[in-house]
Amino acid sequence: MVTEDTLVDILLVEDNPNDAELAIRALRKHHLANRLEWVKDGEAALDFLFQRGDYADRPARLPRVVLLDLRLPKVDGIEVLEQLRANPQTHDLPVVILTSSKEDRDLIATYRLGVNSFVAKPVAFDDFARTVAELGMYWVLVNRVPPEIRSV
Amino acid sequence: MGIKTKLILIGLLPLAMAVAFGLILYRGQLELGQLRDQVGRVSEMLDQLEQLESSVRYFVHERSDLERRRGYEILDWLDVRMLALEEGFPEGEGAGILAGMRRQLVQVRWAYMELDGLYLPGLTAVELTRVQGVVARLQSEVAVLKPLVHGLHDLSRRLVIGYSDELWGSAFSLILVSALGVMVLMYPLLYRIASALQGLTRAVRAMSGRGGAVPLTLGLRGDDEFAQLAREFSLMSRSLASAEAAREERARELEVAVRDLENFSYSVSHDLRAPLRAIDGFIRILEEEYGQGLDDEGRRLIGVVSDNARKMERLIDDILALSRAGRLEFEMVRVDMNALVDEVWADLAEQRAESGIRFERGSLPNAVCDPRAIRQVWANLLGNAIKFTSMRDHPLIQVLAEHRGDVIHYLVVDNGVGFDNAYSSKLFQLFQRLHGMNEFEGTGVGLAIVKRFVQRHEGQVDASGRKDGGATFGFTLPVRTEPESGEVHGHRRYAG
Repeated sequence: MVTEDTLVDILLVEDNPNDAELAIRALRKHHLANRLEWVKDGEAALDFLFQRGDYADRPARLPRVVLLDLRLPKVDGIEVLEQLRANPQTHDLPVVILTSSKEDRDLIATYRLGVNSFVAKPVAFDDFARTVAELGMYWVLVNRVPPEIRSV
Repeated sequence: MGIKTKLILIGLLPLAMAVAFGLILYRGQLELGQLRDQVGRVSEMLDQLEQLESSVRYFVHERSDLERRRGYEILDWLDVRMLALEEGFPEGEGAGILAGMRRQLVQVRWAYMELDGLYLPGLTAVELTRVQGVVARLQSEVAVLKPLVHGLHDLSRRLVIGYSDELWGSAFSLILVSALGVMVLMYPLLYRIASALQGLTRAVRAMSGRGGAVPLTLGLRGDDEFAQLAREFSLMSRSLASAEAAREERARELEVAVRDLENFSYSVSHDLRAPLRAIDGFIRILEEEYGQGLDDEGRRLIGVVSDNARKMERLIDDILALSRAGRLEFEMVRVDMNALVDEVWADLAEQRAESGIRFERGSLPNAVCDPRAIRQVWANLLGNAIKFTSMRDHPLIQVLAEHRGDVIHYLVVDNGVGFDNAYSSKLFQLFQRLHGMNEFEGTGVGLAIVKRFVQRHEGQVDASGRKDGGATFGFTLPVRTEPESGEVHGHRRYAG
């Protein structure tokens, strides 16, 4: 049964539980964590988005935004992005890279693959919390996506 | 046989020929002299015959005993001369004439002796007739002898001319033979030299074209100097090729090492930041959610943890910046230093806020360099200068430049806190700081980055200072010719 409660607005792909907890806390402060799904590696992210494996029964509706770390176990962030962009179903899905890396080559590689935004995680918690909260508010509340992405 | 030996031998050949030529000429001249003497002797005989005739005439006419004896003297002289002539002529030449002459000479003597026998102080008519008859016979005998002597004279002259021709002929052929000999001997040698030089030139050109990566063997056989050179060349080429291969191997290893280092710094950037974020994040959460239960000291301790997390982040950022400084691919262009320095100074406005620093920039020569790298150099040097002068009275920062030989020396001079000159060598080393952490902020990486960038421009860094007496930091850039484009690039293109 698809209800509003089972729908997901934010898919957080993050292997570091501390980072994930900090991000979820920051989003919760702004009531953005209710419809959030957290997966710990690239494979799980792809399973979720393509309704495979553990997520085969998931409603077809895609999230409003994917917050994607780059260095992930099994399938890394760049590969996840590559597969999302290669598939017509997820080709237009908003993807935001949220990473510790400040390397130019990551920036260039992800933009070349058509990422929607690239955000380096600030170390200071204040900055980090503010950044994640702003991201959540922007992509969930402000940004609009084409209707076919959200269609059931 | 070596080329040197061959050349010496060929050089000796004309020498030997010259000696032979001289000998032949010397001996020929001797021979020729003798033949000429013969000609002279024959001429003298003719004169003596004339004398004999005139003596006979005088003798018959004047009956002088003196003339009679003179006649005998001449005849004796002729006999002696005859012997000398017979010995002087070469075998077979004029033998008939000589025999005829000897016979005729005997006839003449007999006629003279007969005339002498008729010698009487007074002569009868009959006797006179007999005397006249004998004289006539004597004269006819002399008349027979004379053409023979003439013939001999001609013969000896012919001999002289013939021998002279022969002599010159042999000398000429000797010169010709020696010239031909030198030519024949030189030809293969010259051919060898020319072809060997050609081969060497080709090989050297081929080697410089391929950068010595491929060993070359020169196809020069034999055992002369060129063959030796060719062997040495092949050896050199092989050792160059192996050195080149070793160099390439080292370059590959270095590349692998650099890539490892890049991966390492990438890991550092990612993996060290996450725990820092956790430390800072959770300590904040602790403060927010349980702060009420803490006293001031507890909250101060939380602040210390948080501050250190931030310091460590800055340290990581600086290490990564230093690693990027080593990896940055340079794009050398002509850079307007005045504009670049002005812009860097403007960018530092936030850092120097309200410090009232007076800034003086001299006229700076342009330089061919990578604008991003040199921009960073200026930013670090000026940033340092601001950091160490802002708390002083009448703070002043000057930027100057001077041409020094084939380099340009750029200087940042300040009147800040300075440093003890004894430690100036430590300034550009990684993580070296001359001030306490609580005095001035910093990680000790900024000047190391300056040094890395300047060294990669083949320049040098220097620093001098005095405690509480200001500091001077300088770097040099080589004066380079225009890059390919030759265009003066503004700094704006590289801003950000």
